[in-house]
Amino acid sequence: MQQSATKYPELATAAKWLRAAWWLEIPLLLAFLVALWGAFVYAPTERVMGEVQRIFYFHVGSAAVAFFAFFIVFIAGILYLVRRNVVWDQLAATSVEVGVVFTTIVLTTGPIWAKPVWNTWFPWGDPRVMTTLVLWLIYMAYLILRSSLPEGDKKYKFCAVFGIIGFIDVPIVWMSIRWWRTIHPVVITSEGANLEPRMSQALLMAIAACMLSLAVLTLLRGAMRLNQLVVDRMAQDVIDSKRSVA
Amino acid sequence: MNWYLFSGYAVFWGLVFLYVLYIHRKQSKLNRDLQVLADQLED
Amino acid sequence: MNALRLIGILAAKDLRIEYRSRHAFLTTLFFALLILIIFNFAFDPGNQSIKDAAPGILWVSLLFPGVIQLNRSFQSEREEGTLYGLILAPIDRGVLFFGKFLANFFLLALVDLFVLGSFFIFYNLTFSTRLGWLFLLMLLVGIVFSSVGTLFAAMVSSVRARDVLLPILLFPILVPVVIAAVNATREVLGTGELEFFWQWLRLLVASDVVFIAGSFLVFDYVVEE
Repeated sequence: MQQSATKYPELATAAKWLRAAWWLEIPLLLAFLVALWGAFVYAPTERVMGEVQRIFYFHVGSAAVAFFAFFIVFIAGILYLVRRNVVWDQLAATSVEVGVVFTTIVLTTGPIWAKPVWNTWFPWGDPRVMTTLVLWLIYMAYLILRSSLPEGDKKYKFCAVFGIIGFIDVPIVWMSIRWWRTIHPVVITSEGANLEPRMSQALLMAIAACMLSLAVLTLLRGAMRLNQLVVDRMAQDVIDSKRSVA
Repeated sequence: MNWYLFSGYAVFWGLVFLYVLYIHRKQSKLNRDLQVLADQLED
Repeated sequence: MNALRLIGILAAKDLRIEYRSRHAFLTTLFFALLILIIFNFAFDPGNQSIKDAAPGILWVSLLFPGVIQLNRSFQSEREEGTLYGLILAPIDRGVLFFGKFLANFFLLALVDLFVLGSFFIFYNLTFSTRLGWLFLLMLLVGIVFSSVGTLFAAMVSSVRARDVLLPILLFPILVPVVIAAVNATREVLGTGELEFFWQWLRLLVASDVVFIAGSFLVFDYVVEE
């Protein structure tokens, strides 16, 4: 066992991540209960939009989580290229996965809220909506790239490169859509301009709960990825040792 | 009953549930691989 | 030997290969022409709606052939095993990147010229200095397209599904550039003042700088073995 710990250093990292996830599980549950209470009880009903507006809290919470996850992909990609430690790559891959899940949540809860309020499922031209959509496309492409490359250092490098290029694209996307919108005026006005204090407090609760779920999901899935990596490598080592005996 | 609000939250929890299910399936695959590895190490 | 000469030599090598197998490049041009014509049928020619859709049609007919062109730039290197030669050669990886970039950019500019000429005839444009601005737009988009494109083409060149993979990787990244290009083109093709044109031009120049720098910095990692 001592030997395997030095031969497969990822095992220790995976164990550390699992322990961290275990510690966060109770806070996560509490945070979600508080956030739900905040969204449904504590926050007042919006005067114009009515009850539907309560989607807002988890919608924005998911968006914050998604953006943060993609930021992690960017940082982990740079760290992988510099340090060449596979842990960074697995962290990036896991963040993309969780980020795509939350981006999908943003892009599906968005239309559900937009239809009764703005009378349109999909407001083309709104910079936030469009940037989220482009982010979803970029990171879906990341997952497709990842699944089509053979396992190894090359795959991790390419994915890191794509994660970096994808993230530096985001501000340019934002700018281009902002300008596009000023030329084709959209009727929709900003929804978060002046929130009531209790609404912004409920929003903070939702963001905190979503961030905790990002942490737990990333740690669990990341540890799983690392363990899978080690198991695959061990299996290969077993095959190799048998071959050398024979 | 506000159906839009209800479906919004249903989508949120539904997608989170689907992702957890996906993770769960990956875990079963990992366990299977681990079992195969253990069997290989035995002989 | 200084870096600029080396870049020139590498680009010239690629262009010579393209010239010797010119049927492939001619096929790309034909594909661009085909897209322009298909869209005309799809939108009912002579109708006013085609005038509104024209900028979009122009850029779609540049993007798709462009991707095909990019995919070829590393395909033969991979198939003939010459990529190892390039990697082993005592040159900086940056030189390799700019050599490939320059060749791709030049070929793309040729496609641009051809498409612009066909577009001029099909859409009944008149000669004016605005065509020059349109060509400038094409060159600026071409810089982003060939810098990121060279990087990604090098990445996918070893994958079997590269023909599908390259556009999947490239197009989401190019969204802002396409938005800028289409909107700037709309102003150029219109008759009014070039009001927002300069703003879009600034965005394109900014993304040129960002993407050339970004692709150049990470290209090292893509070609190392």
